[in-house]
Amino acid sequence: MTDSHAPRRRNAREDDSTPLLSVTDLRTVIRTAEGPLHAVDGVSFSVRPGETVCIVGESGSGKSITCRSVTRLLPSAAEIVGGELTLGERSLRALPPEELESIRGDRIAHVFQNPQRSLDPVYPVGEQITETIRIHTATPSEEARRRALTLLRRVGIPRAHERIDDYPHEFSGGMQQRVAVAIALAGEPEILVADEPTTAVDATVQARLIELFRSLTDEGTALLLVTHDLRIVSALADRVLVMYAGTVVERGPVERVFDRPLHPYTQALFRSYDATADRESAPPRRTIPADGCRFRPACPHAVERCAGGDQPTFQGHGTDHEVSCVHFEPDADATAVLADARRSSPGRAMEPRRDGEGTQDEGSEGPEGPGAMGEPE
Amino acid sequence: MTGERSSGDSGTPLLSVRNLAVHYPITKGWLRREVGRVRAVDGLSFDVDRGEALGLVGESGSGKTTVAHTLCRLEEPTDGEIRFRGQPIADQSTAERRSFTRRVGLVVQDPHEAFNPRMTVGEAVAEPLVVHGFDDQGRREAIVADLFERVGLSTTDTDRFPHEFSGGELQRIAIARALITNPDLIVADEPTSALDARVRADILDLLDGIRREHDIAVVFISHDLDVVRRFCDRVAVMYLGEIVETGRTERVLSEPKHPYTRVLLSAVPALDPRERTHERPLTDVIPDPADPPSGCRFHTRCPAVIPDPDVTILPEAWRSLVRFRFTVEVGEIPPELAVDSDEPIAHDLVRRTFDLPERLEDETLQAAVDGAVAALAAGDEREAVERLKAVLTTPCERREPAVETVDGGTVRCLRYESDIDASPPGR
Repeated sequence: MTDSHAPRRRNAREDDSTPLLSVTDLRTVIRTAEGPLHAVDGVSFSVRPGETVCIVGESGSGKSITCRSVTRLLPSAAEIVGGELTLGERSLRALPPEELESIRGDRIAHVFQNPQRSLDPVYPVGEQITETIRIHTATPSEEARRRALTLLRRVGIPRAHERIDDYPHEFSGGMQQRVAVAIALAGEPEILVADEPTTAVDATVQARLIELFRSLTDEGTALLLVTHDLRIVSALADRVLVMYAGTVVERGPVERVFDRPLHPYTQALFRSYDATADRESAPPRRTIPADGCRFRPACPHAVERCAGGDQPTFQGHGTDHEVSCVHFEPDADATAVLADARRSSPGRAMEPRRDGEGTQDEGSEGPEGPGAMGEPE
Repeated sequence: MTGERSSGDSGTPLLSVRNLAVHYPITKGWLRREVGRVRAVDGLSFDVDRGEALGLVGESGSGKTTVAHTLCRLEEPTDGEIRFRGQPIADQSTAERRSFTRRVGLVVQDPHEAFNPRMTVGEAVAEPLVVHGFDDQGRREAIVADLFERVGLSTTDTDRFPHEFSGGELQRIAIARALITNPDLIVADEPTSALDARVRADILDLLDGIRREHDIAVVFISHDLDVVRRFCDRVAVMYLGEIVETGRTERVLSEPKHPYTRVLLSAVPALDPRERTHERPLTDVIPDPADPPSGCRFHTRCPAVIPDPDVTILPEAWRSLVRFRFTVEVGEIPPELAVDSDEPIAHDLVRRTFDLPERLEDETLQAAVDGAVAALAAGDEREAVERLKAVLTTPCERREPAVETVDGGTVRCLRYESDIDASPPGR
């Protein structure tokens, strides 16, 4: 059996639909012994109902802190110091903790890399799911148990009726992650925030979870997925944000970013999947600057104006595809960086594709004004 | 270094494993009576030549980490033999064992767990020398400093502590420690799976350069096929304690022979977002290694499971019927077919869910499938399984496949045995 699921075709109606979650110029700081660390430094994005947005980056890029900032599930040393977070019409930033608590699980649910974070070792899994159901809706206990059973089956727990009263430790790691997803779904959230949900599971289990996520978004649940794995992005994303050192460096529809990774960092990331590519080594983290373009010490195209001030302003390159790199600024010459885009595309090794071919948008190629994604910047 | 290396330079492989088995007893009660055995590794044979990189790939429960531990003598085999340079390691005297452990280095997955937090990394790297009685401290420090440079670190890093390093840097230090005794073999257990893509690529390049320069063999254990493709000369695919396929890496990954290898490869998402299809196994459950399926251990999940000659049925129909059978058998009933109330389920829904053929030529088969559909609709999974089991028979369930030589490698699947009538899997 094969299963096909193309990236969502983006049309005018969808672009106009109100975002479910909007994050604007988010800034989150972590206090460390060496001073404040700007873990998230001016990140903006939005997620619409039924849409999958992937944040891809390496450890230290701020991708996890970004998604934990949404419901303030942050370590105690971290603090949101700027920006706006809205869910539907409501601002999340100003919300008192009790109200935020009621949004967590009910409207926004989290799945973490380590399923043990979501599971309580001293209660049977069924009880944990029914508890979530009953917190969020006034459901009679029998009905809640039946729903719990359905959820366990949906996430692929075999013989669910025999396992509903088992404890988390009686499940394998892959099964625990499925149970964690079932708990997350129990409150029927509008948006699922998943942080590396498949990193610790086997390939065939991962394939199964990918299918599950697809069926959820088909039903209208939004998915914000954080990962370091480009293959997961390729399998699930409608839109991608590439993060480096607390900043978004590139964003756009998944096919465009994969066809033509524009930012030199995105290009370096993509080339690390290709054993035959020439690569520059990843620099030690302590050398990353906190102004201008953070990638410049490792960038083969770095010039003087990469340094200082805010990160380079986003420049459009075709419909919805934007990059924060000085070489794409109106008066600059992006030829050299664009040449690298071609040799860094992971699809490069497959069929040779001509410019513009295979991208299904009706929008024209070539630079467009920033803000094509309808995001404030 | 991609030519055929079927025999080592001296004729004997560096490492030779024959019928290796590692079983763990499952005990019950305070008398710890043995009630069963987890057959973590069950009859493994493979060779590794000097300077060769062999990848062991598989999912949880495949036994790959147990193999790593056995090779480093962290665990003793239940059965079988491991020869190192022709000599069985079980027969080693204390002195020989000491020299053996010096010749085999281990690099583990999580570098943060591999180091003592209170010891400088320089001391940690030198530790194997101390253990092996190398007393000259000045020489030790010189060797460590030299190694740090070779793995891409600074000689001044030796005085720092593990927490001061990133995961990638620590993995470099772990490689330095594995190299300090001049090993002939490095066993690397998922050495890059905790690392970011760019750092992972750097570590693989480093390890690759070192092994080529010093002709060190590597047994590389990984679940990541990208990493194996990049690093290994040959690959052995493991499933539930057995090797199901071996061969040169390019061949196995581009033309997999065993249906499990095909499923595993297909489960890895393509780097092209337009390519979102994959070949699914019949069922998702990885069976319990304590109670592996009879015959071919993969048969409960195998999309290429072979029908018995007397099952007269078209290939498409066979596929959906065996999927029906094993899905019910392992208990992966989709939620829409679960009866938790007294309301019966429409037979039609069962047929649609499993994409069952409308009519079958064979009347016995038709009756059995109808019976199973009715049983499942009424909530009787056991009855449904019994009906299907009686007619959807397969040699894969009864007969253990032998190891066949194919394309310079091996495969363990009945499809490759001469007396079995089955076209090769897929088209």
